[in-house]
Amino acid sequence: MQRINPYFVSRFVALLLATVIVDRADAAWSIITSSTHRIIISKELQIAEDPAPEGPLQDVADSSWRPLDLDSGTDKYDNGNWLLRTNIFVKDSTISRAGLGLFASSFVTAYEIYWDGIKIGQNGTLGINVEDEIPGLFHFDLILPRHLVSRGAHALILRISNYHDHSKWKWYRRGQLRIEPYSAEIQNTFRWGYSAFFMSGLVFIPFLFNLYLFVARRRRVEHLLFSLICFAVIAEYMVWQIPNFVDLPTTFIYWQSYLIRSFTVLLSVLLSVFLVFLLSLPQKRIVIASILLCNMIIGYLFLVKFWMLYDFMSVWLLIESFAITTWALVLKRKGSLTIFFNFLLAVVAFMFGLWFIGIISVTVIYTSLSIARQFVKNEKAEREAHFRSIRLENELLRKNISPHFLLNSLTLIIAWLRRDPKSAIKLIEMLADEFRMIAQVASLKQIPIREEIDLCKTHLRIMSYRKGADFKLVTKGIEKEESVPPMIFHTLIENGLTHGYENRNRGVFTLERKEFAESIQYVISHDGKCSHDDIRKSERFGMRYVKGRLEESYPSRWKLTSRHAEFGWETVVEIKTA
Amino acid sequence: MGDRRRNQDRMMRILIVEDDRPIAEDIQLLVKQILKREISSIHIETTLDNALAYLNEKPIDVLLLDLNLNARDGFQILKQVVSKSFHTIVISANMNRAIEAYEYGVLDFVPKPYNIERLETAFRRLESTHAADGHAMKYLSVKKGFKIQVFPLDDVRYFKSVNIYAELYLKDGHTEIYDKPLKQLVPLLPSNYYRIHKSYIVDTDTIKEIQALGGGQYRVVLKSGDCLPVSRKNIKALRKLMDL
Repeated sequence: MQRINPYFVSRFVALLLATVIVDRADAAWSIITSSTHRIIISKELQIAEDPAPEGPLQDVADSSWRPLDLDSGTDKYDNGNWLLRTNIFVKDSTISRAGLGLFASSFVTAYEIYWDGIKIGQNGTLGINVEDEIPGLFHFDLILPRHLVSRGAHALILRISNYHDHSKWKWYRRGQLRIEPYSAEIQNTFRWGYSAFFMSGLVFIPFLFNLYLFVARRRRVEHLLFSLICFAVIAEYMVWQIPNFVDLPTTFIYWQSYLIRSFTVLLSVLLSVFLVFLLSLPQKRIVIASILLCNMIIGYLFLVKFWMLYDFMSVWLLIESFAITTWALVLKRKGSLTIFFNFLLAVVAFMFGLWFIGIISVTVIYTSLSIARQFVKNEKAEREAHFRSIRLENELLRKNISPHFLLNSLTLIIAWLRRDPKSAIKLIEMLADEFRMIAQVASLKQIPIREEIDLCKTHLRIMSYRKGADFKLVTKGIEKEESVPPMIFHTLIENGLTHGYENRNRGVFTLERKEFAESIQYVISHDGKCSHDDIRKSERFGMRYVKGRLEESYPSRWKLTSRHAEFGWETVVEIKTA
Repeated sequence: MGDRRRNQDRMMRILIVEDDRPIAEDIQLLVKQILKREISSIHIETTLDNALAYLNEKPIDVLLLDLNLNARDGFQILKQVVSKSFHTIVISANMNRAIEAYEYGVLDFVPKPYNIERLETAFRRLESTHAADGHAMKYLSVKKGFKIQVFPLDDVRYFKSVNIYAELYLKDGHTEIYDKPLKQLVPLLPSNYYRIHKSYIVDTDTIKEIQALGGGQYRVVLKSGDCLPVSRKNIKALRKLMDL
């Protein structure tokens, strides 16, 4: 951080200064030597009105040339026919061997290029009004004729007409002439183009993915925001790249400028708001409102100075994101640490000159990875929940219609058949009743409490028959039609029967519902005997089932307690409602 | 079969332990049909505690036991009851523990639902000379004070009859008292065990040689070095059994 900081700060300060202090260098000379890789001519230009726009280029007296005032906000250089001049001094004639290219960009609308008075190129057709004028192409380049690039001083004149310029953005403001080896330019175009397509391709997948997630996953705003971020990144890359695909007129520069400016502000807002949602920060409205306000102010301040906006937004975005993530860190929000690391990474991207788009790209990639990770986690949790449901259903069936249980029941039926066929039939009917009910509820997660009580009563009737005893269920306070997980009371009653009535032939079970301000209690009590030891040893299976069902229906909102009661044993199922 | 012979023995005292009373009563009914007048007493208990209390007070000859009594683990019961001097016949729906039950010295394992024929077969096994294939005991439960100790059958050099008990002569030189007479051990042991003498049972696979001592007296020498007498009436059968 110590190394980064001074650099970071100085760059930031330089940006601020650059917006205030305009470099008024009026040295209108550009010097080409054999070691020159590239000269960019924009501020060194002189301007004069074209004296004879309809005829061939005419000489203009030196006194008529004025330095081009880039910052004039007036209508000083309005629609019309203009001449732009710059002086080039070639120090070394061997330079011509390299095959120098001349590249003009962002000049609107049509122009001719003259080298020492000789016309060497033309983009579009000059005119004296909108009808006459045919705009040139957005990308324009030519190879400087080798025989002309001799040692000594040369004059480069851009003869320009700008009747298609309807914008407040002055036609010359971003205009630029570049002289550099032709091969170098081709290389740069490729590099920039490839990286742009690589990045936009990379971001395209999360764009689609999150859009789908937004539609499919209960319209969670994070996904929509993230999808929009991805879309804006792709759009921004596309705006840069479109002129490489389609022949666009020079006037496209206005569209490009406006679009990129808008995307930059948009991305800055989106990313910050996305972070606010992702990290579920408090007081979302106020935070989002202030983000919008800040970005709008910045957008307005840099409305005119487009390049400054782009640079400044990068810095601002980093500050903003760091502020939000740090806040989330302080609030100990889930995932805030990883996002904090992401922005450390983004700073590195910034330091490597990837600027705004670099920060965004790093964030997109990083966030996609964390979403993927989140999905793996969720899927695992869902799978576990699914398996738990299957397991519970399986346990229910295994416990109540296990082969062991069926064999015992069959034995009982045979035993009754030998002595009293009528009783045997009654028993078969009761068993059928119970099995039918179990079959109905086995795959459900909740059943009406009435059905559960019916199940319990049927079971007690069967057990009375089996043991030659008399078991009853009494219910208290159950008036509402509400639902409960299947067979939890049944299981608790079954456990009570197994352990509490070894030597008794009479038993009363009570199911009581108690409602409290923040919870509902179901108390199942019986008048049999029971000890803690018994419960630990052999009720594990049944209790595991009950706990599993409670957790399934009331995750982390339930409590199960068993204790000695006045006349026996009671189990309390408590469900928190608030 | 064997009605006459059984009548010559003492009358049988039977205990049925089964937690479903209707089933217990049904078993009682069937057993009465099978044994008819050979029963001197037949009693039902529906809980384990009561059953153990009954066993401590009254001697019995055959115990009919359900392994799952009010959800208690039947195997703890089994280890206790097989150490006693009576025969145990398990009647249970829990077939997957049958093999294990046999290994602990259960005479028979009758699956639920049972029928009269299957119960009759079980009672017939009381007279058998060895355990049915694959259903022989592998462990011997020995009561030591209040504890039950379990020895693998392979640890026993030979069994010697002492009154109504058997003495187990173990490989490590110890002797343990086993609470069943030799007569009751025979139907539980694998077929390679043979009662060479009124007072001895050996594993025929451990016999090194049979020595004739003259005067119609014989003895076997075991691989462990023990020399044990062989009854005259058993010598032929023993030789046949050993393919000599």
